Amino acid sequence: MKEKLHQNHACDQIMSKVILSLDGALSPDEEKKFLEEINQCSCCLGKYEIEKSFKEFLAQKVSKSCCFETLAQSIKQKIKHNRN
Amino acid sequence: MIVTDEIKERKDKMFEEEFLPHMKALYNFAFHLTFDEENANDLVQETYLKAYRFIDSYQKGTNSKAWLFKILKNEFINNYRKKSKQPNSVDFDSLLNYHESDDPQYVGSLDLRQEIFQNMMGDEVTIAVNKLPVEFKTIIILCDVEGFTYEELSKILDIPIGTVRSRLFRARNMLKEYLRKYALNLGYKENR
Repeated sequence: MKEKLHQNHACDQIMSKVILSLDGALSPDEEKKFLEEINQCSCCLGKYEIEKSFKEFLAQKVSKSCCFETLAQSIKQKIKHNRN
Repeated sequence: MIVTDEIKERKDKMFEEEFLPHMKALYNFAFHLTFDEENANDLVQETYLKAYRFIDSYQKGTNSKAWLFKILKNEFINNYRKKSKQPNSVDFDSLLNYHESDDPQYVGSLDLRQEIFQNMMGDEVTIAVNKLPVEFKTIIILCDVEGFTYEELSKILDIPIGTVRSRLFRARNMLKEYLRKYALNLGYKENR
């Protein structure tokens, strides 16, 4: 059954939905249909897992710089100064 | 006089409650754009001063984070344009719309193997992100680090959603290519 579906559906079209799904750009109905389709094709599911890991990996590994502690205070003072 | 004070108080409250909580995210974005603590600090400060000046055009309760990021991005472009008059700098306009006329071809999505990128350190990834052309780096940070939706990205970057998708697709592929080359240099074997 899985092989049959794999031959019938277009993996490339599914791949375009993988990105949309991970970026939260599918509607709930589209998401449901997508998950049903992807769960029946090991090739697409494998690619989905890789893309998902890559997205999570970026969010975790791209460094996050922290601003000066005094920045908020400095901004508020400037606003006050500009107002007066 | 009482009315004026009330308006001021309301503005200050909104500024404090809706705008200031996004400072760390804004600074992080600014730092990735400028590579310099002082410049990032100035950029964030300018963003907030502008936001306060135009606070009346902001609708309370709407997406303040996206609004602030848009202001910061515009501030950056203006600064960038000023700098582009100097030799050896890049014209932001010439980078915009770079290879963006087509819809993304998902068929060609780069399949970077999971075990390769999972072993990488944050520094390597940050260096790779920073190597991307500015519009690609921007969209990666806004989408994959800050989690903005396509619709929000479209508003922040002033581009259609189709362009958001294609730019994001190309940015990720470019990033994967950098990381793949890096992994190969480290001795990982390619299996595709």
